[in-house]
Amino acid sequence: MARQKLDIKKHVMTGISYMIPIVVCGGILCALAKGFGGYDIGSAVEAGATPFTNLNPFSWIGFWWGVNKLGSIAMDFAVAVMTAGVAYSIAGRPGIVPGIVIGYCSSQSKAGFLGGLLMAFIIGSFVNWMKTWKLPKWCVGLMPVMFIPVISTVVCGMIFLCVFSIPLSFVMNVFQQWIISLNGGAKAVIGGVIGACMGFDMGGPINKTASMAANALGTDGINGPMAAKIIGGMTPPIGIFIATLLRKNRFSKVELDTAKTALPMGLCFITEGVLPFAAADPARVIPSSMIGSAVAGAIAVGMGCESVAGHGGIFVVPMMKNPLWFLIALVIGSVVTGVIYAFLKQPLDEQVEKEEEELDFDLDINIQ
Amino acid sequence: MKILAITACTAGIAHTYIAKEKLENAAKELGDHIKVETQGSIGVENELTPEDIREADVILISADIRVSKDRFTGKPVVEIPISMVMKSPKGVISKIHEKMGK
Repeated sequence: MARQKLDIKKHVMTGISYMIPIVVCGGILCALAKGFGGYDIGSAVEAGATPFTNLNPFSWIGFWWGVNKLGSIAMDFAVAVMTAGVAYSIAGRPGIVPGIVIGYCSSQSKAGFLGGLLMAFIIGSFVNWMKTWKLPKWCVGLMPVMFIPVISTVVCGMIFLCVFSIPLSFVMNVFQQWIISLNGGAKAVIGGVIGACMGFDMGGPINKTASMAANALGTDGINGPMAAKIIGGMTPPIGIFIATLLRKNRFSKVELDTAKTALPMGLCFITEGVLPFAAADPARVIPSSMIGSAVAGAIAVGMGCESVAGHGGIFVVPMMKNPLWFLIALVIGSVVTGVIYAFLKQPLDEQVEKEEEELDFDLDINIQ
Repeated sequence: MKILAITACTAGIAHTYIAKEKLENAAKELGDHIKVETQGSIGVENELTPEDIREADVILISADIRVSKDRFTGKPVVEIPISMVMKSPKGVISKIHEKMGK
């Protein structure tokens, strides 16, 4: 049982580790494009026969529209890559094709990260089961190139569309509606709730659902939650960076280097920058980042910050309403996360001492 | 004893390399020979060669993500989460000694 639990974690982590670079790529490209081309750069070029028909990439606006498009395509594929990664971890190479197809399907159907993750396990088990099929010799060669990709994609894909897509998007929708319904109350409350959700799982299902809720409110012309979404996603990596400044001696050299990459990621609104820390020390990192993000979100929205842009991090701050309060909230929220984590973080010395104590574990040696 | 190890963590930028260092130091103290391959986000570094694998007594895979074991047919393989190496590198290696009866 413990073994199984470990395996599940390993599969999920494999998927996330494949997803991080594509999210970083998408996030930074969108941020740059919005910073140089304006926050509504996404609608600067009208689609013709293809989305690129009317594009003149040699004009200033056209160039940044192209960069923004590349970034948003990268973002669209994030869940697909994660799903393929998890399925690959379970079933090896044959998991990749159904993983990409169904993962993309999941993000398109609003089932998002959660749907992709669930389907990856179904795909993985299904492909593993297909591998045990006894087939006549002449068609063994067809198995990996034809039978597995076709059958696993159609079976798992239709399972998703028939069974999971509707309830999953329903659950996401209920959660989203709840956040939207908070909009009637004190502004700081909705800012705080969205902030906390953003800081909870750093790019996972809760984070993505909260940001979808903010996007939905944005299309209705309510732009406060969007500011909370951006700030809530920015403070965790910046906060961890601050924590390493406050308590340098509690972090190893490699952790200090990692924190230096977290700072620019935070400024570009890539919450995933904090994942190396969250994965290693979740019990201390997650509460610190949730509290910091909630504080930042509450201050920003409470003070009337609004953002029309949905992404872009620090680059879109000049285009926000009340940008000064946004920056103040960003600093306060990041410092809160930083101080809490610096306080909670275990000193390295204690970790070293522990080395000699924790010897009562077991491991299995298996001959391959 | 000749140990080969592979380290791989989720983000592939931090713990993979900390674990490598910890294993190397621990093995040195315990008088073992060790070579550690890292599978970080950048890809495989310090790759284990077929000769390394042929001569090795045991393969230690400490990873939070999937690591292929195809190369190690017929070899004793130990799989543990990377946190175990982070907490207790010497403990892990001595436990392997104990289990291998050497």
